Amino acid sequence: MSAHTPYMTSTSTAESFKKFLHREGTAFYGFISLWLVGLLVLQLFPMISALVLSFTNFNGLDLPNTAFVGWSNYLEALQSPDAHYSLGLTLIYTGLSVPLGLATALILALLLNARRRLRGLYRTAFYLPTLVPLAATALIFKAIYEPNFGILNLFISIFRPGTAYNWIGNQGLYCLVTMHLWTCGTIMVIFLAGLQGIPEEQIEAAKIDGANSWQLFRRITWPLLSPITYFQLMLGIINALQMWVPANILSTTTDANSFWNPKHALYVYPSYALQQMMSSQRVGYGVALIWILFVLVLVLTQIVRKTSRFWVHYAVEQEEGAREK
Amino acid sequence: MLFSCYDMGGTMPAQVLLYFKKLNTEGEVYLKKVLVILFLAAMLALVGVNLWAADRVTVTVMYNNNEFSTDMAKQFEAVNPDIKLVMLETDTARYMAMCTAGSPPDIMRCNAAWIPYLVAHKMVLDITPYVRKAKYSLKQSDFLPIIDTYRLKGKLYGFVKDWSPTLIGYFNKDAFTEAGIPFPKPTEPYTYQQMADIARKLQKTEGDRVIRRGLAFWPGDINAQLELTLVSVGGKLYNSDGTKIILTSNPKVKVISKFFYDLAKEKVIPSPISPSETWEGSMFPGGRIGMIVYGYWYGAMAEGEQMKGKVGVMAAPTWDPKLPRISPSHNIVGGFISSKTKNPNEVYRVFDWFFAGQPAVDRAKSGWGVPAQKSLLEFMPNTTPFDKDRTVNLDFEMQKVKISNSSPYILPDIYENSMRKYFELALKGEISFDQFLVNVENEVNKAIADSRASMK
Amino acid sequence: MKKKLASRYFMTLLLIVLSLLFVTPLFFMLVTALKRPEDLATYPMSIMPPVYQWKHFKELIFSNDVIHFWQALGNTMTLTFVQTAIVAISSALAGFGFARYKARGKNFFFSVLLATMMLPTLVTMIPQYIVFSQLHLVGMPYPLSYLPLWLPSLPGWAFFIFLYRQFFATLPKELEDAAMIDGCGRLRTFWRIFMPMAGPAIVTTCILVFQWTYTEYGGAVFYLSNDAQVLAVEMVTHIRIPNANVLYPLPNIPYQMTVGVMYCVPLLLLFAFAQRYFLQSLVASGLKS
Repeated sequence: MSAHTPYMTSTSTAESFKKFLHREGTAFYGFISLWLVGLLVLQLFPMISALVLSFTNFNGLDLPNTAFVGWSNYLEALQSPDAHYSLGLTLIYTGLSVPLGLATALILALLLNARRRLRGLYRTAFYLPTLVPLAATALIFKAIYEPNFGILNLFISIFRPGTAYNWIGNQGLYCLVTMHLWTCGTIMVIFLAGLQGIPEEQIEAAKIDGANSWQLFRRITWPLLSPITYFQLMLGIINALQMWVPANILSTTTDANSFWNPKHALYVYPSYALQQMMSSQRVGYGVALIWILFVLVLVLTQIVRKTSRFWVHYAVEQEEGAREK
Repeated sequence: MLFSCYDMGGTMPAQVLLYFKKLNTEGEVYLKKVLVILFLAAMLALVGVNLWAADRVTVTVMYNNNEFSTDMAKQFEAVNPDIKLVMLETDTARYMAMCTAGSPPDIMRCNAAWIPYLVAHKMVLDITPYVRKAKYSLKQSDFLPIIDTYRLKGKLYGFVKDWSPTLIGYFNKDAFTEAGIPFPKPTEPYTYQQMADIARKLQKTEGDRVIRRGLAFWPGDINAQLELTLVSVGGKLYNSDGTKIILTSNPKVKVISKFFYDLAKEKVIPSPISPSETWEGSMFPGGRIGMIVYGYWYGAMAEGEQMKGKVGVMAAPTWDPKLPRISPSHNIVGGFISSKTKNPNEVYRVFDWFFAGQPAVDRAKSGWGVPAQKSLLEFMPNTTPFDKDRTVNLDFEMQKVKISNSSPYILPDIYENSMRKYFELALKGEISFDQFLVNVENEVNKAIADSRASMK
Repeated sequence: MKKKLASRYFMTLLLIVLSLLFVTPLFFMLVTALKRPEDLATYPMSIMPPVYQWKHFKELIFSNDVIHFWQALGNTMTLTFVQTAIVAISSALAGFGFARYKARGKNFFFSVLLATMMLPTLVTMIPQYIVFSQLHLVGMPYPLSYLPLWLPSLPGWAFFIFLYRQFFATLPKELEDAAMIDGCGRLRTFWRIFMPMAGPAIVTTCILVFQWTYTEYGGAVFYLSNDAQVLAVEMVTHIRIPNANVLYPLPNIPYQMTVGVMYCVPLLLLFAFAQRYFLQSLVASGLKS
């Protein structure tokens, strides 16, 4: 609208303000304003303080006496054998638990997808473990993997009497992975929802064309599920790299300090960082370790994203709004 | 498509949602207004309550809930209406955050070993002047020597909740009879070597499985085992000003650590390569452990329900009968008042009541620990024969109690973590025994050096 | 045909075995709750309790001797319900903005949103505490004691903002235009037209937030004082044995498991109730994308 006539310009500020309010851009920012404010105050500010802290030798208690130490925390983190070892554990854990978890969830979902009696019962059975509080879960698995009278060893003793293998001490990662698999019910449900969203007509058409189950899966099910799989893969990687609570709980003895000091086989990277922060009181160093982890998470997720072009299929009818990265 | 999800077939959730959907369009505005008014009213009411409560002094206490419970807090408030107690569960992370935020808890639980560090960092209030004025903990003559563990340079920095000579042990009489070993008297200590031999006899295994463990030490980790035994032979972990930990150059340390290392390798004592399936404290009353050296406090539950009359008391072992007898203690739990507290008088009243008032009497009666004042000793349990054994044994031990020294530069945690970490590696054979001591020493000394550098 | 039948039987068998495998640990939890502490350490250890300690449950539910069960449960519910309501609405707001409106910098902020999902919460834990502590928001009387946990949810949770965005993106533009013609402002459009249609997304959000908050441990330990504490934390730290001489100062696994069992019950009820609906809403909320 051009302001040709003189008497229109006198109201143009009020009008243009109104127009401003109605502009789509303003609406956008209006709707996300709450989120933005929260982002600044509760995410950005703490992040910046944490970043600053990582360059100091803050010990958690004595703020006035803290001094800047430059990059030494980061240098130490890169050279420390403990850091290397624990990072290795975390990466192995991620490499094992994420694919296995997704595979298990997918297989279970496929099994449940077919209409059968008692399907709700099976579904409940698989979902139930996700409702158990973490402390109880850890206690349960501790009891299962316990050397002398753990259920697993008792079972093995039927075949090889007197077995008392120290599963947690020697194969800690294996225990953690099985704990993770036990709680894959949520992912299973999401896959199930995705499976049930596959249009019947496509499946019927393929069957008429003579496809067997494997071809069905490979050509129709898998591609249609790939967006979900992709999302869960990303989430899975992010969570697995930060996993520390089960590792610490499995290591706990009744000594109050043992919670922050996991056993050697369960000494994952976040646990190492937290141990430095909470137990050894090297908060600056611990925060530096966590920042390195953050960078790692970003790098890995970007790598996965880049490969997603090759295997993630978005159905044609998806709106442009869905795919905007 | 969306509406087909609303299964009219009658699942209740669908009907509930339909109801809310209707609510959305009819009377929504009215409902919203009502809710907003209710919400504001509730907030106002709460603010009002908060203001009213503001003329009470708030004292923040960080303690274990099972030692200082919310019920006890309410009891105190009932008698002292001008004080409001906020109870927090002991949590290192939270404590750190509170300190950094500048508002640490007024009263905090601690162990005597922390006092040098806390005082050096100026976090503790000197309570000597308050002790003179207080209602309960007045009589200095009533203090047992153990309270000196909370003293530094003559000033009192905290108080003892209860304590325990840690190397007092208990043995399973049936297991001893089975192995043909005569019962020791509560005042006749074994040597460590004797104990180790008896432990080997008591150990029962089935294949790889340990049916009965010969011996268990408090709390199950090498760090405490080394520290306590070292104290009992008159040794020290740190040098006199706490600037270095001395491990490899102290022959006693090597001998003692090797002793425990060998026992752990034989699986006669629990260790990271042969852990106990549950807390040893609950295994002993089930007959799964032959001898348990857990401290005086454990006697309160050593019998359990199945072993009444079948448990005996053992005196703290000695390394060498020729050396003067020392009975070490590791658990001297107490508390201190933060130096940044804003209401020292009210806080001290709470402190005083908890550490020397009715709760102290209750604790003495329960037999879970030794009180820190002579006048409370008479309340300790003394009815059953087992109790009497404990009392006799305690009198014998109490004369010669000592604790290990600590460094003002680091908390004991750093030493403990280091020990645990490298001991596990040594047991698994990934590093040698000597390397284990070297690694721990280096790590702890480095931490001390870093701390000293930042404290200038 | 026979092959198909055989494979069906095989799958059913597989399902049964797997279900049993999944349920066994829970059964184990129940069974442990019914034992005495000594039973966990006797030799030989039996799977079933020698003496069923139903009194554990009685003591937990009908008295305050073990933990303040009903108070803790009430605390948990307060925290969870309000948190759910906050997240459901505020995430919808942000998600709606991302879905429907174009703006400069939108892609940038969307990337920021995704990045926040990857941020380890550990990084911000202590500084966040300091912020709240300086604002005197920590340790307020009930129910404001949960403010440090509610306030960070006011901006919404990134995961659900993402969910709502996907959902709202699939709704046709004509709805908006129609509403605008009728004279609704943008906010009104959102509240009156789009939110009612977002049933499936809202349900999904509510159920997931409910589940995650119900099991919240770290935040609760950090910000809550003992009388406002939630069940998850009480279970680990505050177990006492009734009728003991004084508070039993050490952990007691059977009682812990008892609380664990009771802790699962409300969640189980919720899911039994909402199961089918939950699944339908997951499908409809378009999680495919």
